[in-house]
Amino acid sequence: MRAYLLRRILFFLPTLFIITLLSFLISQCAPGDPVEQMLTGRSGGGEEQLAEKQASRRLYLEKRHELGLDLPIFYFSIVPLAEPETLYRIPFRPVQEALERLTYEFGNWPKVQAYYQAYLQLDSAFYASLGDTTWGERRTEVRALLTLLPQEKRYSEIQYLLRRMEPLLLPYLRPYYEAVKQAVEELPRTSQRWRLYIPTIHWHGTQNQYHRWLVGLMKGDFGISYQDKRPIGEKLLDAVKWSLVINFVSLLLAYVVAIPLGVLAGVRRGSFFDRGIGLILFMLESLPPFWVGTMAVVFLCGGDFLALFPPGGVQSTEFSDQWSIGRKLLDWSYHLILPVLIGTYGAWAFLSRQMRAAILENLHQDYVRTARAKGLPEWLVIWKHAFRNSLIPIITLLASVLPAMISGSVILETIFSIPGMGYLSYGAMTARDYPVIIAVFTIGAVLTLIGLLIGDILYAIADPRISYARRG
Amino acid sequence: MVERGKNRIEPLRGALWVLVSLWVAACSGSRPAEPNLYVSDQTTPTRGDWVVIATIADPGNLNPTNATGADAQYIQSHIFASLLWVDPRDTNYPYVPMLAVGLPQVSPDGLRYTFELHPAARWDNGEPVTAKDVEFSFKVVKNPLVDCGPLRPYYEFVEDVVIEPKNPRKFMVVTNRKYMLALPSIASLFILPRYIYDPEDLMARYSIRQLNREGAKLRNDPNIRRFAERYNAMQRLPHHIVGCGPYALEEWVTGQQVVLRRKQNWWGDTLKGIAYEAYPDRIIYRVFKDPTTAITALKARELDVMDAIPAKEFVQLRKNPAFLAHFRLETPPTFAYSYIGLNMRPQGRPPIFTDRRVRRAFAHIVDVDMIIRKFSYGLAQRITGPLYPMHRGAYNDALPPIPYDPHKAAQLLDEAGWQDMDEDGVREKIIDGKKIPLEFEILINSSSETAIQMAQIFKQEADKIGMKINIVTLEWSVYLERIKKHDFDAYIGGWIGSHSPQDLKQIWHTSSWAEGGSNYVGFGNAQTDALIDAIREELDEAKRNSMYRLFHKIVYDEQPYVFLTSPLARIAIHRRFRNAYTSAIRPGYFPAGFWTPTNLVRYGKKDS
Repeated sequence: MRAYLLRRILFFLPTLFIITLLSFLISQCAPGDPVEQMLTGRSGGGEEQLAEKQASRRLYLEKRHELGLDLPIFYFSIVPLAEPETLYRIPFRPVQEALERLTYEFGNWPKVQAYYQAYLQLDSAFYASLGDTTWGERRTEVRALLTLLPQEKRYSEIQYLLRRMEPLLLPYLRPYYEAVKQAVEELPRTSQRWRLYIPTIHWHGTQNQYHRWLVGLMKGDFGISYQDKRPIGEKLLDAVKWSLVINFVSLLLAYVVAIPLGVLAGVRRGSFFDRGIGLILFMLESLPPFWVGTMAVVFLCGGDFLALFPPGGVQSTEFSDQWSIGRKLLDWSYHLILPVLIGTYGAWAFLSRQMRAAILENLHQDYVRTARAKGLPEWLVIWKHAFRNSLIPIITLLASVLPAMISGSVILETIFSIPGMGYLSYGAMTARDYPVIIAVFTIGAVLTLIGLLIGDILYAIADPRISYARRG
Repeated sequence: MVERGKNRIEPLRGALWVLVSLWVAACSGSRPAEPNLYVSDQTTPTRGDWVVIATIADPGNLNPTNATGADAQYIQSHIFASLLWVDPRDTNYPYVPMLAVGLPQVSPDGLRYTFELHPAARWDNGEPVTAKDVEFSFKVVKNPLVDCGPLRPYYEFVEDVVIEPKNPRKFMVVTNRKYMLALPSIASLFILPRYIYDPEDLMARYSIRQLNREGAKLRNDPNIRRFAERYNAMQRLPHHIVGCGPYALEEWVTGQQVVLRRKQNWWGDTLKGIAYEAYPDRIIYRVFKDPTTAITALKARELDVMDAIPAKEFVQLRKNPAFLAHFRLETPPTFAYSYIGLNMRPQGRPPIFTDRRVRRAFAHIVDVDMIIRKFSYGLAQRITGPLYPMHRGAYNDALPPIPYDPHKAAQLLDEAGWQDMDEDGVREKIIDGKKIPLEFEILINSSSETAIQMAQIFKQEADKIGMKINIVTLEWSVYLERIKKHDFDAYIGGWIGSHSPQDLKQIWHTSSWAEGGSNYVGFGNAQTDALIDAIREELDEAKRNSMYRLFHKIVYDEQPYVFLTSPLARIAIHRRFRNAYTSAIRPGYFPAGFWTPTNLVRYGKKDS
């Protein structure tokens, strides 16, 4: 048993690592620029021209540095020889993508870089010339062309943009322009496509985004939420207590109701009770909770019909800290009873059918006959012998329940305005708050692992026939 | 209070719209009789009672400068005070005194604004509010490490605050240029208590001029850093969210409710004026993410106020006498509109909307009245340009809406040289020797159900006149990225503005097309740019309005957008409240002014 556990835990660690890696990769694939997300509302119009543009660009770069987004993504990268290893240093995602594309087309990063450098010089020369009155109407056009140029991936389009820019420029910008043009023209001439087919490894060390994120994670630092700039750990802590309470009560209720029903149905197989319960439970299961939840809110919470329950929330408007603990508990239960019930009934059919099937199987076993032959009363036969051995499938289910308990129900929590984990993740998803989504995802995955481990241990406890020791 | 949010693009919220027949809008005029359960002879306001308001999201962060959500701002407006207040009842939206005794004296060059603070104004610790606090509040915004990036550009023009040596309540705000929004920006800044936010007086070591000039260098300054770190972390706790407004943050249960408590002895109690109206003992914001649940809570009278009620539900509530017995439904106009943007300067895309006649032809196939009936249930108004009808002087009402007229559209396309040469049902035109079909993409944010349905109608209409529309739905951030890169032919979008004079620069100036502004469609030329700049610098309202009307006319003639609708707000307010006026100023209702006649008080009878 101990050896087995040790083995399981040894497997546990690499799995965990892969999970964190996956979450991280998914977060990398999220569309949009995280820095832009953090800085939304940043001044847009080109009012104070150079000063303002530089200010907002500086703000962008600082925020990017603060978030560690100017670091390489992982410990190492395996890329074609032609791949620009310093590409991650280039700010602004669209520019990064365009330069990457060009590198893949021509296999010559130094030349692409030279083009970008020449462009930067033209750009700053242009901004220095903004006050020049000889520009007239052309200035706007040039400004737009200059903004588009570094984001352009297609070589022919780059040439097209340059051709359009040419007649518009002021004479003293010509040398800068010529430099860019030359660098662009050099790209196909110095093409080194063979470099695309030779793989190479770059080692980045611990100064990378994944390491940073992982170390933070281990310290319980999940990052900062885009939405309200609060630490995510704090937000999760606020939310998890409600999900835990609701799901724990739901779980208890599910088992307390379903297990006896399942056992009784199994024992009285084929009776009116068995069929009746089966019919009712399956009817319940086929009613989707989001629909029942909405119906319950509309018809039972004082809107259009009865006012038996409060419409959402976890406590009354008048709730006060001065209330006695009993009154508080009463208020909370009054608010949570409906979501708990609706979150539970779907599990009854499933659990009780599982239980019934397991009991049926065990009732035909030899040891049950033996027990009966010994003259034990029927209830003892069922509840002491058959029941214990029928618990295995139920335990399997219990193991998968742990992550669900923490992660909460998105739909029910939203319908009933319960500020739990489901509600939090729903809010994060609608607001594209990726750090929160990834944190919830990672926690869910880790808890699933732990749940499975606990399940394995419980098997052994429930059923002495299962042993994890190596035979022989 | 002045809205800080500049225009921002907004996805048409993806509510579940269902097509209904036309009589819904028609019958909304004849409401059922409204019995009045809430009668009282009382005419003088009394304090007491609570107001419970539905809000769609937890405000998250209530830091006075760093909070970004609109919900947070509504809550803050009760806790913090600014120099002036806007009277929402008056449709000219005039400024009225709040912390300042009156409107500022403006120097003839329009660069210096002299204010005097009200002698009664006090912080919670009994100390008077002084010009030093005002200066400090500007410094907070200008501290380069304070997390208020979106707010900072609005105060860039503030050069200095000069305090009168003999009068600690009198000061002059010096600006570096003439700007029509200078007063709205200065007037709406929350004035912050130094003793709460800067007990060590760290910011006193720096002048505003220094923060302006040496912002970059000061980022590494230990005191600047120390202040910003402490200040940025002050987001949620009642003793961190402290201002000199009439309410204090009492309790905040995340995701549940935010409770504001009326201060017992507030300095404004003895003053007359709309800004000092604060009658409810508590204002409670309850979070309901699901609108159905919120409406149920409203019907159950667990809520007193709800706004942004989905239009479909709103028209149903209008026909529900049991509901109307307890609630009033209000539909003030809003400073927002939706439109179809047409790319006037396509780069590397077919030159379709470069021709004014083609843009106008598109406008003729959009049946806006039908859109208002079917998608807005009549709860929207038509607009003809980028200005709001509520700004009466500025809105050019001489311009007739462009009628739905497919015939005229076809005619315009013929004139513009688009003909169906190969008789495949789609028109073509020879441009630069190449035959280009009249086929284009319309970009839509995928979470906007309404926009998708609207686009399908446009597509059908366009088919009839030989124009082919391809609907492209994109995830919000991708959609935005493509629009910003001018990589579109047409898109459906929306803008939210505010009651202060509209700064047209962000959306209509050519510089905002060239580099990352919001002139996605590429509207404008030297003439319109000059007009926009002139409007920005004109402090005289009448002169500004005549320029606004001219600009409106130009945009109307050019049709860079097909203007769709400006939605009406949809607000329910409990009938026991008096003085519960509504306004186009967001959020549309002003709960601090609500009062309940003594016999109708519902909450908190014992504890006050």
